[in-house]
Amino acid sequence: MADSSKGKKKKTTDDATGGDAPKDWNPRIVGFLCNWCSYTGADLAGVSRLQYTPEFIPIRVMCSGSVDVAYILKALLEGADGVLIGGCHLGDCHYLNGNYKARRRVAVVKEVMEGVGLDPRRLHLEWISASESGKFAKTVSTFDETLRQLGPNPLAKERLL
Amino acid sequence: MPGLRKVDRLKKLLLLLPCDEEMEKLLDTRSLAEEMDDPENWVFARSDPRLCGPDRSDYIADLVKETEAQAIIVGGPSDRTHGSVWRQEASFVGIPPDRVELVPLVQQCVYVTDEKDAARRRAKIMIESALARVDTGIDRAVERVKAMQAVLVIGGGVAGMQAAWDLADFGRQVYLVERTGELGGRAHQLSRTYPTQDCKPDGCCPQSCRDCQFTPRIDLVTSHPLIELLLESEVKSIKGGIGGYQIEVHSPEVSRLLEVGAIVVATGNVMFDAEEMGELSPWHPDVISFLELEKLIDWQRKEDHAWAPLRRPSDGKVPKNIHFLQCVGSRDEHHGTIDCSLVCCTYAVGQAKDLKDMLPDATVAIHYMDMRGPYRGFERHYLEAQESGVLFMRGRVVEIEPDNGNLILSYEDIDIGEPVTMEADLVVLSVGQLPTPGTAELAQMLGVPLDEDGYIGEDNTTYSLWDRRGVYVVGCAAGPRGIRYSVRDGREAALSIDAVLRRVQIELADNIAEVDDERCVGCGQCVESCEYDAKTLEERTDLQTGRKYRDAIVEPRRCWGCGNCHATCPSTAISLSGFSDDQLVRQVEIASGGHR
Repeated sequence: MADSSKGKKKKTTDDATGGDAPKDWNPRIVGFLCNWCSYTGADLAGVSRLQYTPEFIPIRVMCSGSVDVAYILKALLEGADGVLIGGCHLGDCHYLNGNYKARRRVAVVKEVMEGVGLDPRRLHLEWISASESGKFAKTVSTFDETLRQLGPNPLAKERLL
Repeated sequence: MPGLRKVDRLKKLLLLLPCDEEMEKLLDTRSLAEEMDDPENWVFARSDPRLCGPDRSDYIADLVKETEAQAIIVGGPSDRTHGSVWRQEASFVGIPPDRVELVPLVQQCVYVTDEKDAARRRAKIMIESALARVDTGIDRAVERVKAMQAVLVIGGGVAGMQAAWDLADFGRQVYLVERTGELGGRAHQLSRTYPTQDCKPDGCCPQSCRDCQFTPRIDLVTSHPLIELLLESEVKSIKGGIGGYQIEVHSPEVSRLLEVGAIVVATGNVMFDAEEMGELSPWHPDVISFLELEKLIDWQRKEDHAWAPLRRPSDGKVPKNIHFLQCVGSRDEHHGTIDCSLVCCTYAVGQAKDLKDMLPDATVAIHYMDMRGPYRGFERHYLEAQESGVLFMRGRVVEIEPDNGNLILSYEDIDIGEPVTMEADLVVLSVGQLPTPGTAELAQMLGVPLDEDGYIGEDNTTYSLWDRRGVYVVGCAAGPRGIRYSVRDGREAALSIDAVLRRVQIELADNIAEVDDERCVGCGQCVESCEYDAKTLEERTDLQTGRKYRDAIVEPRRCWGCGNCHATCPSTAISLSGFSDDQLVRQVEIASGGHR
């Protein structure tokens, strides 16, 4: 965990400062989960006793398409190390096509993140259906691994001050 | 108009449920409640076994009285499973549904990790997030709309007729729109239904068979004073939402605007056209579909008033070798649909048995993959056909070749595992069923999704969207089904509609987009992003300056509460009630940095 500075470093950004990670550092993940698929998938994961990092904090939204770009940036500025957005599979959206809109927004935010020197891998969009508890737990764990490689969020407010 | 009114800080009752014993071992809710209890900041936390017992409501009423709580936060179950339960519980003590929050400690917190401390820390973050949500919400009364009491039924098949008839019987004005010039739909083309005998929706039935008892009679529907029949008519546009739909219907020479409270979609489905399967020689006059066979049988009966022998279409000879092909354009990945059409085995067995009775010397065979009969009574029906001498051959016919006035069938007999050819002089195709063309356009107008097969699909039994939309899909419009199930669908829809519209005012669900007029600049991006046509731009005039401007307005009856407009709006003028900017920003703050 601590020597994650060996992790892949993207040339275009000056992110990945894993070497500075405090010893007891665990990546904080903010998760926007859509009410109909991913949130229910997360419910099922807990009921099925699947484990993932306790530093993942879920926020229920009605649709992945309702996640404002501002919330994603806000989370990263406030110190979250990564943001996960969970939506219904493409074509399965409870609201016809909100997940397509989410996909477009995420693509834009990733560009913005690169511009401000954040690794776009800190934002992850995944389609997780209500029955895919395994996929949910695995997605969070894999994302956690990625963030460990990237190290703490360099933009985090507390580190800027 | 003023901006959206925000709630002030509320007195919050935090209930941590100690009901899950397993969970209690990992997270001590009692000590957590003691820790979270903070009367100075208006947080009153409790964890008590009474919350899990039969006296729960009384206990909560006492607590609310004691603390003067205006909001309830429940730690334990998830919103998806217990949201409705706790909103009802809160309504007993006068707390509105948007002031109830559930923290899924069981589902999404405690079992996630083995580390007790981490679980407890996480629980606290999630609870704080919920506490913040109620303090930052939008103050809104539950939206109520007056319901129009009339109902529109689209499609005059058995399902639509049943719905129309029942609704009219309840005393409702019904508009029954039918594309063709007559009622009855596909069931009307059947000379009889199986496993029962001699049924026809408008006919006089000598036997009181089951399908007939449920089948509404066309003349009853036609003559009902409360049912207005609009034949040869089509729905052109649908505006509004539950309790207040405005529907434009084009009839010959006239166009009308109907105002109804709910809509029954009974548009049926269509039969697969075998033309695309050239290897089966579908152009040949002696290769017919089961519906064409029905017409032949019907015609024979009407002409001779007796069981006259059936004659084949090409040359009028009495057929000696009749073969039924099952699953043509159904259960097929390449043609038609991958789904089973549910009714074909039943009627093919019935028709084959009838033909065998009619022509005892003829060979009557059914080529099938699996015999499927989702009806009680099918098995007996099947056995009777076997006993009467109908041959059942397992295997899919791959080719039909015309030969000397007859037809040669090639197929692999699965029972003996060898390719076989066979001669036939009449072939009947049991074709699959596909969504009616135009279903997608109708779904678009209604603002409801299509399922992967192209049907508008069935309702969710737990979260009824139909009750919320006032749109009910019945009969084959929701997928293939037999007559009796279509009829029952129609009746079910009529009962649901009556129950929903009977409430003089309809309460709209809790998540609805709201526009802050002070912030809206009238750019129209939300109008574009809304999939349900719930938003429009309204021209307004500033009373003081006389300046003209545009503002977005929401039709609450059409809003599904997805929040896509809220994420789209560049001036943050739109809030989704229950998921407002203030709420989510606060949640994000807490989730991102809290309790490091």
